[in-house]
Amino acid sequence: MGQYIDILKDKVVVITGTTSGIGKGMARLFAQQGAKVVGSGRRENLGNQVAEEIRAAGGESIFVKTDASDPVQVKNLIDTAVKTYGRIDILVNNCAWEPMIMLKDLTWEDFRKVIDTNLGSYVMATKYALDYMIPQHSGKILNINSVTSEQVVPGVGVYSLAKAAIHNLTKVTALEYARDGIRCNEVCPGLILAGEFEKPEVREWAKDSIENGTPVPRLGKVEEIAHAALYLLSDEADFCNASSLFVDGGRRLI
Amino acid sequence: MGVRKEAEVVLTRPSANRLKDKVVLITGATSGIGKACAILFAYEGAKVAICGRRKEKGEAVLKQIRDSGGEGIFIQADVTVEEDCQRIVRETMDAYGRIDCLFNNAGRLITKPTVELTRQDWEDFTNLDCYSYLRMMQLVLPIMEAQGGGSIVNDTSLAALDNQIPGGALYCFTKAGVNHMTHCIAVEYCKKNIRINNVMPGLIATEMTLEGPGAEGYDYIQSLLPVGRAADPLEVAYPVLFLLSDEASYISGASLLIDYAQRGY
Repeated sequence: MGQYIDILKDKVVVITGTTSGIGKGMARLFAQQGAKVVGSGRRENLGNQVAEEIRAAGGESIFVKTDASDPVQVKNLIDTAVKTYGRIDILVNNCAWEPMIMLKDLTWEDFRKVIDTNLGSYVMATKYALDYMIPQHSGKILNINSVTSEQVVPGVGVYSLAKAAIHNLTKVTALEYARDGIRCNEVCPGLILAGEFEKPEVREWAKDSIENGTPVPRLGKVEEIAHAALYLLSDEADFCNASSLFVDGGRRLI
Repeated sequence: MGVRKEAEVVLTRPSANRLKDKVVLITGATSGIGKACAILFAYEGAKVAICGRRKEKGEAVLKQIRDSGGEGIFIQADVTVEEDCQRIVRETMDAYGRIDCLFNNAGRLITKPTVELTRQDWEDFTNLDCYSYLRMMQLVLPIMEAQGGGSIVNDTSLAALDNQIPGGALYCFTKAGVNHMTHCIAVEYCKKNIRINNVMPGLIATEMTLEGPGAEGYDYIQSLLPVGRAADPLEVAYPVLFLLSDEASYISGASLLIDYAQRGY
C-alpha cells in the first residue's frame, strides 16, 4: 500500500472528527499525500496531537476545536480553514456518535443528539463548504457513511437512521452541484478496528459477529478505509459522482 | 452525428507500479474499457493476458503495451466458446505460471423492442454477458485458491440498477444478473482471500457506444449528463485498477457506480 505520491498535493482538506479512529487515519494519510489538513473535533488535546504529529513529519495541519453538532462551530471550522489556507478543496464528513440504545429506551434528547451529531453536522458542514466551493467552481465532498446505512444492527439502530439519511445527502449534494464542478461520494465502512473496537472486551463480545457475520473474517483496518477515501478523492476517480463504495469485507451482503 | 471513433489510450499520470508483477487476465481487451485496462495495468507493472476475438486489434493493443516497455500476451479467443475459455486460462498459466487478477469485461449491447426478442437472442446474449463471466470465474477461482488469494472485477453497467436504455430488457437483465452473481460468489470466496467486485459504468466513449447499436442514443444520454460528456475508457480503468490492487484489501462484494451521477438524472 501507499505507493501513490502526492496525490492530494496542496489540496486544502477539512475533516470532521480527527481526534481518533478513521478521521485520524485519514488526516495522517492525506497529509502524507501532500494535503493541508484542517482537523477538528471536541477533544482538543487529542486533536492537537494529531496536527503536531503531522507537522513534525513535515506535513501541514491545524486543528480547530469543534463540536460538530453545533452549526455555529461548524461554520467557524470552515471559515477558519479558508482564512488559514485561502480556500477549501475537499470536505470529508466523518464525525460520528454511535450510542448503544434500544428504540424503546430512547429519549428525545438522545435522539436529537444522534441526529445532530451524525446527520446535522454533515448537512451543515456541506452547506458552509458549498459557500466557498460554488464560487471556486470546484470541490470534492466525501461522506464517511456506514454499512448500517443499509444494514440495521439491533441495539444501535438509532444511529442507522442518520446513516440512511446520509446516503441521500450524498445524492442530493452530487445532483444539485454537479454542474458547479463539485463531486460528492460516500464510503461505507463495515466493522473497523477503531473506537469501541479498540477495547479487547468489545472485540471479544463481538467475536462471532466479526468472524461469522463478515465474509472477510476480521475487522477492517483504519488504513483500509483511509485508502478508499483517498482513492475517491483522487482525480483518478473523477467520473465517480453520487457513488457509494462499501469497504466492509462483504458484510453488507450477509 | 458523424462517424465517431473510440479515442486512442494515452496515459498521462506517472505509474505507481500498483500491480507490480501481478498476472492479470482481461477479457474483451481489443477495444473500449478492456483495452484501456490492458494498457493501464501493464503500465502499472502487471503482466497482462489480453483476450478477444479480433486478432488485428488485439495485436495492436499488445504492440502498444510492448512498445512502452510493458509485458503481455494476446490470446485470440471467443469467451462464448468453452474450449476457448479453457485455452485462455491454459495459455496464461503456460506463459506466467499464475493468475492474480481477472477482469471480466467482454460484452456487447443489444437493444430491441421487447416483443421482437427471440429465443436465440436470449441464448446468445446470456451466453456472452452472463455465462462467460461465470465460466471464467469457475476456471480461475481454483487457481487463485491454490495460490492463496486473488482479485476479480466484473464489468457490468449502470443498467444493472436502472434501465436507461430503450429496448434494453435483455441487456439490463444480464447486467443485473452478473451484479448479483458477483455478490454471491464474493461471499463464498472471502474466506479464501479472493475478492470479487463489480464496476457499473455509465456512458463511456467506447467502440460499443460510439459505433455499435447504442450509437443512436449516445447524444441523448450525453446531453443528460451534468458534465456534458461521456467518460473516457481510462476513467473506468483507473477505478478497476484500484479495486484489483492490494489497496482495496477490505473491499469485496461491492458494486461501484462510475457514471457521474447519471443515475440521478
